[in-house]
Amino acid sequence: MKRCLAFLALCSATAHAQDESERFSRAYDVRFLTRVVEHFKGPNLDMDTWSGDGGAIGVGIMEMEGNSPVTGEFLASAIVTNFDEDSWSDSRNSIEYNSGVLYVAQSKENHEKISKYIDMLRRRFSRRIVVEADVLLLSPEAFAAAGVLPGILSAEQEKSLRDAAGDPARGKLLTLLRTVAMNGQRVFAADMKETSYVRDYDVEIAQDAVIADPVAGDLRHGAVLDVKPVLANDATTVLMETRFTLARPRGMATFDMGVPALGAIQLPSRDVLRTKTTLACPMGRTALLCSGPLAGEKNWVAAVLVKPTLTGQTAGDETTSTEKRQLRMFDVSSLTAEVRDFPGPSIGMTRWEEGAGDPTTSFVPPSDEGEGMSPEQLIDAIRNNVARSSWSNSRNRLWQMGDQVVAVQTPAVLDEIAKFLAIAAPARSRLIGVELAVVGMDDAAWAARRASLSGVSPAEDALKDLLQAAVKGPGVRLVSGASGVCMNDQRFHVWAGSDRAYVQDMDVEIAQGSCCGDPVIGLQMTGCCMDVRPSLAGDGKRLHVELRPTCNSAAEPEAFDTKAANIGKVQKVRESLVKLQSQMFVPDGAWALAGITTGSTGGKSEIFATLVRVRSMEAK
Amino acid sequence: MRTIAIVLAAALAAAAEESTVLHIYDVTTLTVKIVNFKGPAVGFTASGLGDGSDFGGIGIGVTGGEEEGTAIPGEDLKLLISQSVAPGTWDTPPNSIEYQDGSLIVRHTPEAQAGVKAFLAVIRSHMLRTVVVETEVLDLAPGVLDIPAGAVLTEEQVKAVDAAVLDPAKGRRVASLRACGLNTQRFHAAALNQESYLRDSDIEIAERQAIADPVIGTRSTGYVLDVRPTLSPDASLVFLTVRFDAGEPLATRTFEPGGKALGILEQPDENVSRTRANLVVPAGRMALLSSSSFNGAQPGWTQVVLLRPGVQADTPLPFPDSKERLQVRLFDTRFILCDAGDFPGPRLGALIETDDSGATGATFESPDAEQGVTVSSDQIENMIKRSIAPGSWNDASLALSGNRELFVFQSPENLKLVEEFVKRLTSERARLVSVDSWVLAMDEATWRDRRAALSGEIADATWTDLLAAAARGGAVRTVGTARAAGLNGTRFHTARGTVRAALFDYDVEIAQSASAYDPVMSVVAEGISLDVTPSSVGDGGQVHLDLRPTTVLAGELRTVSLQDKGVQVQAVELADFGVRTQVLVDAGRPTLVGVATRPKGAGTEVLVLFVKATVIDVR
Repeated sequence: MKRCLAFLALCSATAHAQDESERFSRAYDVRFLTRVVEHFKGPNLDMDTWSGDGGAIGVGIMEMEGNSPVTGEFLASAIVTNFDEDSWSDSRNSIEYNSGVLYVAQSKENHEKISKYIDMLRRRFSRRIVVEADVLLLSPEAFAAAGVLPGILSAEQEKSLRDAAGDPARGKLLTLLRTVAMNGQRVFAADMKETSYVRDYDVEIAQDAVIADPVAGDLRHGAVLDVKPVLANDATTVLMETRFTLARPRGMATFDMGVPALGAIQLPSRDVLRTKTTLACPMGRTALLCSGPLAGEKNWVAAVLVKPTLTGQTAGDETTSTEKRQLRMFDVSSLTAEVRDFPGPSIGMTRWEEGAGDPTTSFVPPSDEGEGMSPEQLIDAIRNNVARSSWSNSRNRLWQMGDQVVAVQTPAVLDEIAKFLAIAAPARSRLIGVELAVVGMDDAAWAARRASLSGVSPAEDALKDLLQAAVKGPGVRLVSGASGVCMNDQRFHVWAGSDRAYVQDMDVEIAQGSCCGDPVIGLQMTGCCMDVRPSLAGDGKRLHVELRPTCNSAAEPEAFDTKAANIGKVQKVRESLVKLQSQMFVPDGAWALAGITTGSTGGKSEIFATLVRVRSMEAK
Repeated sequence: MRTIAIVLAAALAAAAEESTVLHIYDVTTLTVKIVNFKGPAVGFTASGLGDGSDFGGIGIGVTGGEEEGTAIPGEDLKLLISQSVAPGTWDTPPNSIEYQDGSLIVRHTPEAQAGVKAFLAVIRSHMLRTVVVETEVLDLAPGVLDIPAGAVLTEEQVKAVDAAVLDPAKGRRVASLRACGLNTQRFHAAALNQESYLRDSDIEIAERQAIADPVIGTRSTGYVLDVRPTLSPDASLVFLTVRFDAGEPLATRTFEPGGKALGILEQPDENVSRTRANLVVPAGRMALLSSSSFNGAQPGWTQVVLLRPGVQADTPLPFPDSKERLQVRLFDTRFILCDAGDFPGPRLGALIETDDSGATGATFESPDAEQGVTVSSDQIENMIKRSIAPGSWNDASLALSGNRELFVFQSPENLKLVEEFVKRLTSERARLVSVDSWVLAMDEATWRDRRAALSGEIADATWTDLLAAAARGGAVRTVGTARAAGLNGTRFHTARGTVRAALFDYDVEIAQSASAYDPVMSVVAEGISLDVTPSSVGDGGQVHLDLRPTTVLAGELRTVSLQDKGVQVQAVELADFGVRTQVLVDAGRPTLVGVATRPKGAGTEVLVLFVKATVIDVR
C-alpha cells in the first residue's frame, strides 16, 4: 500500500512539473525535406537519334521521377522516438504532418530539441555536389610525357596536363562543363551545337508519279556531361555515375544517287569520344575520366578531367538524445547505389533502320543492371551480423526509407551498425583504371619481335619497347587505343573513333506504273571501343579482366553504280577489324599481351598486338 | 531465478560476440561468371539479317556471350570453408559465414579468420589461371614437317620450322594468332577484313512496273581462332576444342544478268579453310592441328596450323593439414567431364540458296558440334564409390558442384586413392587419333600399272615412290591433302578450297503487264574435306574409321544466254568425288579407300583416295 501511494505521488509530481514549463504549438516548414528531387537525363549526341525528341535541350522529356529525402510520417516518427518519448502519450502534446508542414505541440524544452534536429536534417540534405569537367586536346607526345594513368590524379599530374593544354604547340582546351546536383540526383551540362541537314528521303509513290520527301536531320555536336553523384556517408568521397560524350564535326559530304526522283543527300561524319562508367572520387580531387585519339585532329588525344566539390553547410552531429532507444538514419546510398554495367557499342558496319522502334537499340545498348547491394540485402546483413539476438525484441526495428536505413536501437548497437556499414562494401572504395593499345607490325618487325612476344607471359619490358617503337616507327605503329576508369567489377566502355553516315542500301517503292529506290542510310563506326570489366583478384597482385575490345579502321565509302533502273548508286564500305573476346588475369599496374591477330592493311599483311594495362587504386 | 538465468545468458552472448571479429572478404574473382565468347564467321553473309555471324558484331545488338558458368559458386565456397576451417563451429552463434554478391561475410574468432584468409589464398593459387593459346599458320615445302596431326613437335622440329619460314624456298609465315582466356572458357581472337557488296536483287513487281531491290551482303575474310581449353588437374595437359577459320579474298567479279530491271551483281571469290576438332596438347608444347593442300600454286606445299597452349599460374599451395577424421578436398574433374562434341564437315559442290535470307557461303558452314563422347558426372561418382572403400560412403560423402568439381569428404587415406583414380581417368582421356588423307590423280595407264600394288597392304617402298611421283607431277599429281587429329571416338574435320558466288537460276515474277527475272544466287565450293570419326581398336594396332571425305573439282564458270530477253545465267562442270564408308585400317599404314574417274581432255583421269590413321597417347 505504501509503495503504491509513493508511486502515485511520483507520477503526479512529474505531471505537475510538465505543467509548469511553457507549452505551445509551432509549425515547422519541412518542405525542403519532403519535396521530390527530380532527375535530368542528358541529351543524346548519337548520330542516329534522328527522331527529334531524343532529349533536346528545352524539351522537357528528360525529367525522370525521383524520390524525396524523407517522408513527413518518418519525420514525425523520428521526433517522437528521439525526444521525450513518454511525453507524447499526454493528450496535450501532439505532432502531425500535412503538406510540407509539421505541426507540433510540446514543451518549450522539447521544441528547442526538435528545432535543432530539423536544422541538422536541413543541413544534411541541402548539400550540393558540383561536378566540373575539362576537356583537353593534347599532342600524343605531351600526353605521354605527362605520364598519367586513368584515375585519381596527383596535383603534379593535373598541373602537367593543364600546362600542356595551355601551350598551343602541345595542346588546347576544347570545352569546360560544370553542373550542380543534390546528393543522388542525376543532372547534366551540355555545350552543344545543332545543324540541320538533308539526312534521307522518303519516297511517296502513286500510280504514275513518284516524289521524294526530304527528311531533315538534326546533327548535334559538342560535349555532354551527364552525371549522378552519390555522397559517401562521411562525405569525403563521391560515387559518380557518368555518361560523357564529345562529338566534333569532320565534314558533310554530299552524295548523288543518280536517280532523277531523288536529290542529293548529305552525309555527315564526326570524331567521337564517349564513355559510360562509374567512379568514386575524393571530394576536391581531379580524376582522368577517359582519353582517346581523335582522327580528325591528327590523332591528338582528347582527355577528360572531372572534379567534384561539395558546397553547403556541414551536416553536423545527430542531435543528442538521452532515450534508452533512439532512432538514427544511416545514409547508405553509396552502398546501395547500383553500379551499372555499361556494355560498349558494336562498332562496324551498322544498318540504320528507320522507324524500327528505339533507334539506339542496335547502336547504344542499354546499361545492364550491374551489381549492387539492395537495401533489403543490407538490412538482412545488419540483422545477421550486428547484435543478432536483439532483433527478436519488437522494440528494436530496422527499415529502409529511400536511400536511408533507419534503425531504432540502443545507442551502443547503433554505433555498431555504423561500424559495420563502414566496411560493408569494400569494393566500393576501389577504382580501376584501364588502358588499351593496339599496335600494328609489318612482317619484318614481327619477325624481329616474335620470340619476345611469344610464350605464356611476355616480359613487360618487351611490351613497353613495342609501345615506344609504335610512337617512333617505322614498321611499328599505334593503330588505336583508349583509356578509362571504373569501379571494381563494373563493365564499362570508352569509344574513341569516328562515325559517318553512308548510303548503305536501297529499298524500293513500286506502284502500278511507277517505281523508285528509297535510300537506306547506314552508320559506319570506326576507331577503338574498349569494352571491359576488371575486378580485383583478391591476392593483391592481380586483376581479372573480362575483355571485349574492338578496333577497326575504314577507308572512305566508295560509290557503286548498281546499273539497275531507278536504283542508281549506293556506297560500298571496306573495314579492317581486330576483335578479341576473353577473360584473363593480369598483373596490377603492368602491361599484358591480350592477343595477337593477323590482318591486312592496304593489301599488305600486318600483325596486330592488343595490349592492356589495368591499375587498381583506393578512392582517397 | 528465471530472471537471473536470462540475464546470464544475455551476458554470455554479449561476451561471445565481443570475442569474435567481423571480416568481409572480396571473393569476386573466385565466383566470377565465366562468359563464353563464340568467334565470328568468315565467308559471305547477308548483312544484318540472321546471317549466322552472330558474334555480336557488324552492328547487330550488343557484343555478348552465352552459356555462362561460374568459377566456383558462392555457396560451394562457403561450404568448402566451413568444412575445412574450424569445422563444426559455424552453426554456433555468433559465428557465421554468409556469401553475398562477391563478398564473404565472416564472423568468427581471430584464429579462425586467419584460417579463412589462408584457405582463400590456397583456393586462389589453384583457380587464378589464364590459358594462352598461340597459333601459327605456315606454308611449308615438302619434307619440312612430316608428322601426324596431333603430334607434338620436338625442339628440333620447332627450330626446323622457324628456319624454314625465313627461307622463301622452304616456307612462309601466313598468320599468327594469340588468344587468352580462363580454364573451360570459350574465347577467340580475330582479325577480319569486311567489305559490303551487291550480293543479290529481289524483284518487286506491279501492274506495269518491275524494280530490282538490291540486297547488300558482307564479305568477311581473315583469320579466326576460336578455342575452349580445359586443364587437367595438374595443368600439365590441355584439352582443346578448336574452331579455326581462314579466308583469303580473291577478286570480286561483276556479272550482268541482263534483263530490263536488273542491274549488275558482284560475285566475290575466296579461298577458305576450316578445322574443327577436339584434341589434347601438353601445356607449353607445340602441336600440329591440321595441314592441307588443294590445287596449290606450289606442288607439294601444304598449309599447316600449329598450336601451342600455355598456362599462366602461380605454384598451387597445398591444402592445409587437418587432424579431423574426415576431411574435405576439391578435385577438378572438368578435364574428364568436358564435352567433346562431334563436328560434321562442310558441304562442297554447287549449292543453291533456297530463300533470300540464307547465306551464300553456306557451303563452308556446317552444323556446329553435335553431342559426342562424354562421361557423365554420375558415372564418375559411381566409379569412385564402387572402387574406393565401397563400405565407407555411408559415413563420408561425395558431391559434384555445378562447375564439375568434386567435393569429397573422406579419410586422408581414401582421399589419396581418389586423387590417383582421377589421375588415371585423366590420362585415359588423352588419346588422339590422327588421320591423313591424300587425293591423287593419275592417268589410266599409270593406274593400271600401280593398281595391284596399291590395293591391299601397301609396301613402304611403293608408298614412298608414289608420293615422290606425285611431288614431281606429271603422270601422278596431288589433287589435295588433308590431315587432322581429334579425340579418340569423336568426329572432326579439316577442309580447304575455294568458294565462288554464281548465278545458276532465276525465279520469275509476273503481273498484268510486267514480268521480270529474280536471280537465285548460288555458290560453287570446290576443295577437299576430310570428315572422319576414328576409334582405336583394342591396343591401338587398328583403327576403325567412319569416313565422309569429299573432293570437288570445278571448272571455270561459263556464261549462258537464255533465249528470252537477253538474260544470262552461269554454268559450271563439277567432278564430285565422295566416299561414305566405315573401314578398319592398320594403324600407321596407308590404305586405299576410294577410286573415281573423270574426263580430262580426250581421256580419263583416275582419282584415288588414300587414308592413314595413327594413334597418339599424349603425355
